[in-house]
Amino acid sequence: MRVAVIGAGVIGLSTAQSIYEHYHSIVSPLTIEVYADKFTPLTTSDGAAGFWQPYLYDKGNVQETKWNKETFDYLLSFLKSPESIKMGIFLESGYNLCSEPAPDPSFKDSVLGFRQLTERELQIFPGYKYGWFNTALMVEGKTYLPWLMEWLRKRGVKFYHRKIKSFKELAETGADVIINCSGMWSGQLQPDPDLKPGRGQILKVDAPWLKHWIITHDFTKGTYNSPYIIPGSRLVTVGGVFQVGNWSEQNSSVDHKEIWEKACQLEPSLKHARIVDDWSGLRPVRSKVRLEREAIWSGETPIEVIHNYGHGGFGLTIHRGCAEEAARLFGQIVEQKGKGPKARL
Amino acid sequence: MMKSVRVVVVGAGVIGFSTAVCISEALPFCAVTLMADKFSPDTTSDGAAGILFAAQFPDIPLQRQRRWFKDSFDHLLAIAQSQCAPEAGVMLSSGWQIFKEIPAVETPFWSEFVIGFRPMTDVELKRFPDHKFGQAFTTLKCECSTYLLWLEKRFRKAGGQVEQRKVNSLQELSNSFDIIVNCSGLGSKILVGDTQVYPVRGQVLKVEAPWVQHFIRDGDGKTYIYPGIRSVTIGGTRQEGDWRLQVDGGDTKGILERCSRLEPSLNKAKILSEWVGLRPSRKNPRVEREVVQLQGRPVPVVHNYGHGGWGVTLAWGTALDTLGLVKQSLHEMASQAKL
Repeated sequence: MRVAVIGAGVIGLSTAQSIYEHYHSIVSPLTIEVYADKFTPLTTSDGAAGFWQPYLYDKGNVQETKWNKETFDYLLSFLKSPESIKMGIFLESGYNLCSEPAPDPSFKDSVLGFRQLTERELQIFPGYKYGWFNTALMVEGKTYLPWLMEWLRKRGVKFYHRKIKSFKELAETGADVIINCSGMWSGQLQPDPDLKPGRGQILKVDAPWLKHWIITHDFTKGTYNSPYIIPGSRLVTVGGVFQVGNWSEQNSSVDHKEIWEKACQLEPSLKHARIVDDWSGLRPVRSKVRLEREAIWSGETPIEVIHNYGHGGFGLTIHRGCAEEAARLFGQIVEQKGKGPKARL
Repeated sequence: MMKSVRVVVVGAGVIGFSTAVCISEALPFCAVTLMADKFSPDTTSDGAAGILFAAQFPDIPLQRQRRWFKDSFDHLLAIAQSQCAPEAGVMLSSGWQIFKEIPAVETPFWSEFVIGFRPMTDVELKRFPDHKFGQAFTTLKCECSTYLLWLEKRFRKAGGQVEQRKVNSLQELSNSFDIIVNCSGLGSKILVGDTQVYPVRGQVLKVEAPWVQHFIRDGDGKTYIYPGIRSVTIGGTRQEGDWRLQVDGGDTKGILERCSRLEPSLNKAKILSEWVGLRPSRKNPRVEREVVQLQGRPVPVVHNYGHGGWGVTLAWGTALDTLGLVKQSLHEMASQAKL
């Protein structure tokens, strides 16, 4: 079978990985190809801070909470090996701050050591009256993606630097299954009014004395439209904005100024930190992740497509859970096409 | 303003400089000179990781020890929250202290002064299969190679003078100074003949592992990982009565083995440097005053030494106590002068 994956961000690469892991010994031959116009370090996943944390509330999307937890547990399991560094995975603790009391977040049972903030801790952050402390994970895209690509390369997966214009284009070259992990640009392959850009801009700062992430939540402004500070392995990511409908990938001076001023109010020690870089990216926002099969009719035979896009600002957070689910859907196709183990009888 | 009382502080480690700053800022009518043989980066304080938590000393009233710890912690916390934090070398640090056997005291006296102290959950302990119990909390790290320079700036701003000179006896100081403050650490063994002072040798490595964000410390105090601003300090050793200042290859190997067991990613870390320091240990720190006959005169001497491996942790608190003792001495001098 030939599998064509569109997209080489964390979603595309991890989906290719899951399909290989589950099916390379069942389907023979299994050819996996990844097509993308952007590879690491230029994907959306590369620009993200690399912090594992879903949005505070899943609004009934319990499936997404399950996938988030699955991803956390998966990444956590690598910590007992020095390999974790090559993957860009490490533990980091920090503070989620709210201006008023709020219900416990959806991820409270996924992370480590989740608890309410003490009075003393709230005194460290004037203006915030409530919040939580926990230990979570970092998975830095700029390290994780190259690791994934190497993992795939070693196992014979081929990469093609090419913008795919339609599913038909790939079907005509003989692909049996197409995995659509084209993130923000899925709308170009198939219109999706539910998919919108959630523009973010971040600063990268040299402030190595900061070891905790600090995420503020303003329920009047919405997710990630208030300051956050996330130390990475080399630099600190400072944000944030979440501008729905804004397609601009250019850095804005107005956003830069506001992000910086608010962050310095939140963390006074930043005042003397050196700003190293600015970056803007488009979160592929959707009311819920599109993770489903679709048979697209073109002529007499349907094109088997598995969609896996629309992960908003939690792509790295949810990637493994979604990749495993996509592999499960792939398994259904394998069964239906009679390519599974039964076929060998 | 005319400076009428001449004070000398002997010692330029974290105890000496903290004490000198306390005195010079609180008592502007004192002319304070800090005198020492070794300055940063050659003091014992320079190599210390500088993580704050304490041990309990047997003979000092608990109330006083609690005050020492609280005063030090609050002082450094205020710095950590300010714009000065990077210049002073002070940062918040969260992590875990883990025990192979359940300790006698699960909640030590200083637990209420650090932040968010709680026992570790079972899931958290799973990462440490050799350990049965643990404490999670947020404390502070104070890096002396940066902090001492920052304190020196503060000291000079308050009018303090700094002199590089090895002090061999209190006698040689009594002509030029009215009050002597002794912060000479291990040097007190010779300077004031204190036989109770002894070294506890500690070796550490500084490694490059910027992905390590938490401290991990074994409750026995011999294995620890302390992420700092630009490197991670890993250690250690506790060799009582050992005066060797040279690096020991066997200790390096042991440290790497023990620390990599707790944090496997350290296997990939580049070693930046190795360092040895002699903790100026004593059954209890000596923070007290006396009057010594020097060159026929009674001279007030205030001692602040013997903090062992808890110098950074107790520096500001004991410096404040020492300031109090200096004030008492001044009071006495003033009443005697009136006779």
